[in-house]
Amino acid sequence: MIIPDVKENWSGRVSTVTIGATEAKGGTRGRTVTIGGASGIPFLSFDGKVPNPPAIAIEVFDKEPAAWPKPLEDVYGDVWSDPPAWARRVKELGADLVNLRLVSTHPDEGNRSAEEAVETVQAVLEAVDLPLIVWGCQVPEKDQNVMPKVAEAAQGENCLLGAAAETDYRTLTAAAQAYGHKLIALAPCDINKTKQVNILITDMGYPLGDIVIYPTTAALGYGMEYIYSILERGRLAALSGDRLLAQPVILDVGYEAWRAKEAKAGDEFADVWGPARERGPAWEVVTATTLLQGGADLLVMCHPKAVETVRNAIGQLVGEQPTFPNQDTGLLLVQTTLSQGVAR
Amino acid sequence: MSSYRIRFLPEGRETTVNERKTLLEAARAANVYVGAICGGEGVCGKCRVIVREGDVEGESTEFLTRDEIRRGYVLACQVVPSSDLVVEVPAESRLGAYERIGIDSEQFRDFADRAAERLSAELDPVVEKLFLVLPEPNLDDPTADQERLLEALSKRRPGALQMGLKIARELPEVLRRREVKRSSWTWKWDGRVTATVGLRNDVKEVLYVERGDTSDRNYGLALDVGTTTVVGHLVHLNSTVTREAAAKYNSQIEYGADVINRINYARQPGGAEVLHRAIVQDVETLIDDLVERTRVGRGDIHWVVAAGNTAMLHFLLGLEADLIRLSPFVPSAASPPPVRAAEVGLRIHPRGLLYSLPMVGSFVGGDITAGILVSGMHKSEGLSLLLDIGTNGEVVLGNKEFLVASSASAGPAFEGGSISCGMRATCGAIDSIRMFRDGRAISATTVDGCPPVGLCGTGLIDALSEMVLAGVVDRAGRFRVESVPHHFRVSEADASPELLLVSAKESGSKRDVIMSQTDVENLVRTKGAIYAAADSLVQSVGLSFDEVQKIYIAGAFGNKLDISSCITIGLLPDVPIERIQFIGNSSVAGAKRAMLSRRMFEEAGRIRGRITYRELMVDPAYMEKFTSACFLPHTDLARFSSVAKRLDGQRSLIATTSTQQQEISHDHS
Repeated sequence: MIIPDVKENWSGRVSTVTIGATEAKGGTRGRTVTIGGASGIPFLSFDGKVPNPPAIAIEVFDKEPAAWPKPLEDVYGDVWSDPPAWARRVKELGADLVNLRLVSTHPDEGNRSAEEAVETVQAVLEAVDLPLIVWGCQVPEKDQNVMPKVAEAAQGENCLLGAAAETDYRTLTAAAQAYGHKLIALAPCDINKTKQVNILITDMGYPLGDIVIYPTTAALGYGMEYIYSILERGRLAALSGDRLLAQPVILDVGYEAWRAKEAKAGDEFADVWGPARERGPAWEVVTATTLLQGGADLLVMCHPKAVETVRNAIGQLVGEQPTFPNQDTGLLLVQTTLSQGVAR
Repeated sequence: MSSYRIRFLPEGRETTVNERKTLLEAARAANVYVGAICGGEGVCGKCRVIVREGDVEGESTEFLTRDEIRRGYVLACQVVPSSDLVVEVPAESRLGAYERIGIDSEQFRDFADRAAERLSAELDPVVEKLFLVLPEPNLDDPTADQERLLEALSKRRPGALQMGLKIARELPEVLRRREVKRSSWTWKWDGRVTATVGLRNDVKEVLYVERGDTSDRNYGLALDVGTTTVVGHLVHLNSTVTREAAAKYNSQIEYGADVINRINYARQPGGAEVLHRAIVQDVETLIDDLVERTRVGRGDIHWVVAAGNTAMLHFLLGLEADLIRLSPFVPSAASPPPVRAAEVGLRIHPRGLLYSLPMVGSFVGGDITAGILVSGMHKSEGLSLLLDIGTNGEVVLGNKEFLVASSASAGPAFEGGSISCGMRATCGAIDSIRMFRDGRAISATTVDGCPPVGLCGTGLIDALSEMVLAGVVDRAGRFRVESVPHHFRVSEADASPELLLVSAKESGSKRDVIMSQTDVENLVRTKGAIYAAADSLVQSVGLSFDEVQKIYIAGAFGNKLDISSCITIGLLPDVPIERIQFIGNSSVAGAKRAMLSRRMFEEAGRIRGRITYRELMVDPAYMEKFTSACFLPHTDLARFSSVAKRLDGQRSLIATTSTQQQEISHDHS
């Protein structure tokens, strides 16, 4: 019997986006990170190449986070009031990029000025040589004020700036264009909106190839399947030749996973849901590994155990041998947690 | 429970209501018009009134600024009295987007009249007046009066005839005169009578008989009962000439802007009766205006042919409309029989009839049957598409082999509803507008050349198209304030930018004519719904717009429709312009055709039977198409290559201004 060749011949491919600039390119980063470039369905190596395995950025806030659960406090509590120190910790934990969120510029979170934000960004850039993602506080009036100055201060570093949305994209796009940064385009869970935002941005003369798509994120149990199906449809459209969707995708996995009550609930639920120190990371892992299958190129994550597990999973999916330096982590952890849940 | 006396200014009308009644309900009780598009849900913000004396209680609202609240502004639907009150209804709530009474004379005539001329050759109205000279009876021919009349009639109009007892009772006196001789009188034969004969289903009925030759006093009213606009044409049947046309906003608007809101209103106790009376009153107002201007007697109007969407005709006829809204969407009657117009409250000739053009289904009404009839698409070899642009947008695709229709809730934007300076195509409505490509100068024409006071549908389409081409808005329809800053001003209500089209000193109303960001959003949503409906329908039969040979556009939004502007905003597909034809208000034109030709009336019935309705709400692809179409002209620019070319010329300009913007923001910071 002849088994037919089911290999798809895709006409399109996902663009690559490089974040960060080394000295040779006018920046001060130790290395750069390139995402995207897929010419087939995620991890189907016979279908098309995955030249750049998905990258992982780890979360850094510019102020002490409010109400982060204990498993995260255990890891970051000693550095989280000091953004450069937090960034160094993140590098030690194996991040590809630092995801800096300018939370404190939010009018309700301290309303720090653009100048203070610039100082933080510069301090983080000096503390670590990883490429940087910088998000404003997502209050348009404030970001319009802060982000152009941040972009100017980080000129040459080729950061990834977020996020340009349909109702509010001009200032950030102009800033990213003027100072040579990549841009996150936000369109909540809607393919057509994604295309529209990309059109609005490129209509200003910003290159389509420098955009990273952010379709928002939902965690396991909180609508993850919606995001999955949007990712999948977007990726299939991109591979079928829709250039407006052929940009890499960033997902905010850590923040969303740790918002789930199952992830953040403490050990008072340990006898039912398992210990908090495993449950939270597991929630992050399941969310991340599921969404990777849909076509995510850049994951923002929180917990080092989750980062390690997801990185191993990616390695296995792209054909590397698994490495589990630490026996109590890895996919085993997920399986254990899940089977415990089922058994009860 | 306490009762309070409320006086409304400027009329000074008073009413007494209990403490639970909102000011909007009080205004209705006092017969004072206060615009409320949402029907009193507190979400449209249109029912602004000013409390001059007394106190009210109610919820706070985001529709009023702090300053307005200080000046006593409240939303009438959100507050109840807590003392006696004096309340002023300001001009914007009285007229605002909705003008209660106004008359269009020339606006809707053009296409319908041309259609009527072509019809005069086959004039065969469903109601006609026949002048007869009956021979005087004698001993050799003692045929009874009734049979004598029927015999004379059947020579002129063969076929079954019926006649009521009332006419038989009156007939001897109509055929004869009484001649008084001393203290007594005798019969004197006349025999010259005019019989009015109407078709009721397949049987002709003698409606009434009158003395002498009155056959020229034979008028019909063609009616388009729209969700937002009601239009009436008074037609002289013998000559087929439209003597006058009149239009007004549907006063049901204050009980809800769209069909669904109104059906919901009708669920309240007495609600259906309120809606029925409102629409009957609107038609009566149109008749008043028409007879006054033409000096035609109400009694010389023998019949009314009404076309309109299914819900509106249900309200007019007083039929149960609730089931229209509920799956499986069943109307009470699709081809209602002719009824006495008096039975629904229309004061034409007491025995005059009201006909309804047959409806297809709950969301495709007799207006569409009319549109198909007028376009002739049901007889052509080639494939045609009909877009009826109303509050409910309807789309029909087909040819002589098949007809398939869909409808989409589009909103009243193109009829001037939900737009700050929107209005019908009456005196002073901007009906075409041009901006220079840098957006720096604006020139406009108005209906009847009156000083501009607002924008009608064609003006709104033009304005949006020009804004796209001049780069005043981005492709999502958002103002690019930095590109033409001198044309924007800041709104008093919420400090948002507004595009100034005509300044107060040049306008006929001494108020600025503006477009707000919300206006643009409403226009984009409306055009998106219509395009997406057409797109879905064409795709559902496996075809593309390129294969459609003729596109007919119908709608009551002014005569100066610029097809190229429609394509620029993505309301119509980007096909060669000669394939697109604007046919005006085809609903009233179709009603008129059916009025003038029995064959046409019957054809409308056959068209109805041929249409397959396709429900868009169950088509998951429709929502996606809608989102894609809510962009200027469309998310997929490849579909609009002619627009893409024009936009390309403008892109360099935008790139320059964005750099400038950045410089500006720097200076600012």
